Formats: sequence, C-alpha cells, structure tokens
Amino acid sequence: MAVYSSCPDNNTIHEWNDLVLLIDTGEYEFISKHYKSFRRRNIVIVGIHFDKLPTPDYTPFDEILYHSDTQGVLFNKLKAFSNFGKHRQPSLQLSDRETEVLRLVAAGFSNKQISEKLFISIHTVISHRKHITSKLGVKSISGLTLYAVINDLID
Amino acid sequence: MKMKSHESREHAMIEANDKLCEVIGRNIDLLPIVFRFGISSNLGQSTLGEICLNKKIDLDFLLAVLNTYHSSSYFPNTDSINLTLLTDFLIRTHQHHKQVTIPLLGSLMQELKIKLPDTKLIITLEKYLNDYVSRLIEHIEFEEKYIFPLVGMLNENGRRSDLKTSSANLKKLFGQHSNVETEISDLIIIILQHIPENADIQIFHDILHTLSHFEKEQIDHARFEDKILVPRLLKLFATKFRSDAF
Repeated sequence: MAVYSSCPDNNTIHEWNDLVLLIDTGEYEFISKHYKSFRRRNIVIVGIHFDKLPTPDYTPFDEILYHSDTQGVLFNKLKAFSNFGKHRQPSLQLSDRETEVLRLVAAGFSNKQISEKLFISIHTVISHRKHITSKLGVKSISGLTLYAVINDLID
Repeated sequence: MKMKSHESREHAMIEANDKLCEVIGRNIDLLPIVFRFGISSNLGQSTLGEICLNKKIDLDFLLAVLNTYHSSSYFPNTDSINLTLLTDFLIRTHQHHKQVTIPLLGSLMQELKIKLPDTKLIITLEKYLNDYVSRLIEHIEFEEKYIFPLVGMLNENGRRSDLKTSSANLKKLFGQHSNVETEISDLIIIILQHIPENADIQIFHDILHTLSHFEKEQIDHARFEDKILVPRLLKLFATKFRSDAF
C-alpha cells in the first residue's frame, strides 16, 4: 500500500505495480493523467476526501474514504482491499519504467549507462532487468532486442 | 535395456546387449546420433555390441554418447572418454548442424515468408535467426580451429609456446555455450508469444519443433565440451607444464 497526500514524483510512480494507492481526492488531475498506466499495472486507486464538498458522479477512484465515514464504514471499505494481491498472479505486463529499461537494453546500453540515463542506481537497473526477464521469459540481450523490435519499442 | 515398466524402460540405461532398432524405437531422437557413427542401414536385430564389433566402433564411447543424449541425468565417466573419438564426434555434430539443421530452418523460414509475406514479425525473426546462425558458425569455426586440435597437440607433445597460446583460447570457450542455448530458447518463447491469429499453425509447429530439437542437441553437445573435453584438456595442460618444469 502506498499513501500520499500530494503527487508523488514520476520516478516513484514508475516503480509501482500491484498496490493500493491512498491519495487525496484533490489530486484528481494527477490521477487522471496516469489513470491508464495505473490500470495497466493493477493499481487500486483510493481517494481520501477531507472536505465536505460533494464529489462528482464520475471519478477515477475505485473507492473514496470520507472524513464523515463512521468507523464501521471505513473498516468495511478498507477490508475490501485487505486481500488485494494475495491470491492473484502478479501483473505480467511491463511497467512503464521496465519498458523504458528494455528499450535501452535493446538499444545496446550497458547497466551503468542505463542507470545514468534514468538517474537510478545500477541495482535498480538490475532489478528491473530481472523483472523484465521473469515477465517475458526472455533472457539473452539478443532475445530482448527481438522482443523490443517485434513490439515496436525500438526501430 | 533393463526393463520393468513402460516408464522405467524409457529412462533405462542403454547397454551393449540392447537391439539398436529397439533403442531407436524408444527414442527416435537418437537416430541422427547413430548416423554420426556411420550406422545407417540394415539395423536388423543386431545388438549395439554386435554392430560395434562389425563396424569397428568403440562400444564404450558409443554407449556413453547414446546415454548422454538419452538421459539428462546420465553422465559418463569423464576420464574414460577417448578425446580423439570425442572431437571426431563433435565435428560430425557440427557438420550435421551446418548441413541439415540450419538449411532446414532456413527453408522453413522461407515457407513462412511465403505464407506471411512482408510481416514485420517474420522479417524480424528471419534476421534474428540469420544473426544467430552467423554467430553459431563463428563459434563452431573457433572450436574446430583452436580447441579440437589441442587434443592432437597434447598427445603429440606440441611446442610449449603453441600450447600456451591455446590455453587462452580454452578459457575463452567458457560461457559461450550458455549464450548459444539461451538465444534459441528465447527465440522459441518469443515465437510462441507472437503467433498471429489465423496463421498456419503447422508451419509454426514445424519451426518450433525443429528449434526445440536444435536446442536439446546444443545442450547435450555443450555438456560434452564443457564437462568432459575442456576439463580433460585443462588437466592435460596442467600435467604437461608441471612435467616440463622438471
């Protein structure tokens, strides 16, 4: 579970997969902007509504927790997410960040060069590469390049 | 082949008294392997022992090879393998790749191109396969030029300076095989993930089947080289240089 009262930075959200995001409903624009990406990565979006203004009929939130909710209501809303992720397969889709790493691997960049380009540590690059290999079932650099070309990630 | 149940018969060790036709009947993948020993016709009811006697084939070596290809859990006694016979066999395996498997894959790709012309998938797969084949041929040529001749050089007391250069090549060989095998298994997985809807499944089946056989052959071939040939050569090098020092 990730809890935020304001917009997290882009580097942080690229690391997300299969989690419940608790965020201020005031960050509506931020959620709308990343909505498709969150859906692709199995992120449940839960808004926390602090003021008494009514919320619109349509919102990008899967659930909204109101300041006025009683303890019992809050308990039941949160309970619905308590088993999230425990009985499901992790997403086999590459996250945006993994796709970016794959694109750079396929373009021939080393782990060090990738870490410099994306401003992340080499350990994080290695971790992304492990996830990519595990999700795609492809291990070699030439295999990853083939996958990237077929799927239009590189020319 | 000592038999109990169907399952144990499948995995039983191949022995001198087994009839070759029955051995092949149980594992058809061994047919191209026996061809490499010059055994190709009139299998009749002969046992492996009888065939080896008639054709002057080293029975122990044939059994070691057949069992290695037959069962991934079997491993021959490394020290008993005749290295000259082994390198001859490995060269014949290379020839099989160059003359049979690679042309077969090429013709299947051509067939696929006719059925799915101008598709990015096929063009990309063909390029990958061509690049792979080029690297494999380069690897094969490296082994035949620099590694296999070491057996003769060591047996014939080759010059110390030549042997020193060659020992560096031996070290270079380590790790090359895992890449060669992984690239084939990656190709199989990527093809499986991208078979287009309404495509002719038979041609994809033929390609995957051929690639899968090729991968298995590469793994067994690498077992002979990485687990027997290279360690034995390194041991011979160590002995040679130790004795030269005295």
